[in-house]
Amino acid sequence: MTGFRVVRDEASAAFYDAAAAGTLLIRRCRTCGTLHPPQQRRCSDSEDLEWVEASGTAAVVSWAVDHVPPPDPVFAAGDGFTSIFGWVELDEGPWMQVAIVDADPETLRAGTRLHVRFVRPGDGEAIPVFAPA
Amino acid sequence: MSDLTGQHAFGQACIAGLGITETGKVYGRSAAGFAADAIRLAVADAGLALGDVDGLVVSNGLSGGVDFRLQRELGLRDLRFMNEVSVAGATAITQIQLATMAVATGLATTVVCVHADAPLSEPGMSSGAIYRGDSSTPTGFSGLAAAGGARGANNGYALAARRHMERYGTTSEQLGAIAVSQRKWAAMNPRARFRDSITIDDHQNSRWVAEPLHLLDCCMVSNGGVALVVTTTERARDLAQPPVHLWGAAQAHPGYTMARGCEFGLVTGAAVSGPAAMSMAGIAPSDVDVCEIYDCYTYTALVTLEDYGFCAKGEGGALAQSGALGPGGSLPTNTGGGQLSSYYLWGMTPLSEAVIQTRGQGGERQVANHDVVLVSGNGGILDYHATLVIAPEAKS
Repeated sequence: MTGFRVVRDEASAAFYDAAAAGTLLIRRCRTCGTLHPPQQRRCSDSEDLEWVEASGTAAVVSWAVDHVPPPDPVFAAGDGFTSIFGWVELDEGPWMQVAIVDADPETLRAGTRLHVRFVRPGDGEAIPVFAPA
Repeated sequence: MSDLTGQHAFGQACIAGLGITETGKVYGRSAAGFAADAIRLAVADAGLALGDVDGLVVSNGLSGGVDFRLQRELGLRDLRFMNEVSVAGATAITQIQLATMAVATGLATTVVCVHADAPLSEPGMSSGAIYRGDSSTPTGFSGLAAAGGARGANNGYALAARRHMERYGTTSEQLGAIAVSQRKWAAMNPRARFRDSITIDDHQNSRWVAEPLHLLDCCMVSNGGVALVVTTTERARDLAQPPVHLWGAAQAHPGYTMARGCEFGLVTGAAVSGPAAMSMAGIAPSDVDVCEIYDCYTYTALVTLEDYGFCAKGEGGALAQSGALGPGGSLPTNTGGGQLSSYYLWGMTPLSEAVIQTRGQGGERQVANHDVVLVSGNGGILDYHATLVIAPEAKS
């Protein structure tokens, strides 16, 4: 695949604005306070979600290595072909499925500590990826 | 209302007919065409005519095109019950539940359940790509998901499998034991697409799709259709095939909240629907003679067997390596080769083989003891689950 770039929409504009500034936003229900991942549209008891800043620190829940080339080389592992991705648990609680970069899949474990960073595939929106701390 | 319990309803209906079209790389036909053929075959198998059918429950695959318009295409007149349903890979068993409720309540007497799909439009298409759905310019949060590896079923199940491996020490070789075992069954199934023997080494040497999943951990994608006829137990006793009695069924859709404490990859809906279906049937796992388990991936079969209680949680790998699941084993599982080796028509793959085994029509691969047969359905990335218990005799 060539020319991968993410295009914002109204629901994601605030998230991508923050990402461009190096900040990871997640959602919080104004009614019950539950924290949600950024793409969450509603809470069980409310449509009223607000954006809050996440610490950007997380732990690996699970990871895998895709052997189909990633959408953009920026997500690729050292071999330039495979890519690591996984479920990570933000320190705030919600999980995100993200690209894991600058990591050796042989040394990743459930619980490995990660920090967020941002990449811009195809000069589109900035995308959070995670790297070992 | 007491006589409308699920248990009572299930005593009122049987599976009386099964139709399976040619499956696999069969090109140039629409899913609706496969569905129509499957229905004709199932009705003929039961010893009925299309005019006897008064209910229809249809299920689409990936290609679409199988819907309630089938009625007119097939010339089915005066239907009294019709639905188009889906819970992805769990759909087949839920179709049987709907048909059973319709028959037990008198809404219809003879209901056909059909699923057909034709995602393979030309030679050379990759199964993984068909379920991948990439876009080069995804919009909004779909871009975040795609960047994060949410690129098709293979990647989702790879994450589930890895989590199980991390928590319980499950190994790739143990997953391979499921692939090898099922291939032994497939060798005895004339309908199976892959019948050549494989070894653990073959599994280990097959290319990575999404680590920790090798190619031989993954199902194929098939074109084809399967239909079943559900009718009253009374009527089924007079028809062409041995009746397949319905002992119990349940659904469980966990609705995982992907956040701290989530059991994704470790425990599935099977842990709820399995015990519920077995309780309705009045059986325990030790009473099950044959298992037909949804096996989109080797891991899916492994985690489902654990959740059903055939071994302790985390012991699925050891169970697979013990040889119990293969021919001659104590828990014959996926006796037609499953989705890994025979054909992939969502929940109809395990359900169709379960009907064959229950009737005792498995030929060379027939399991001698088939008094209780357990079937599973699984959809999404472990999001949807259904369980069915069937038997050649009415429940006492």
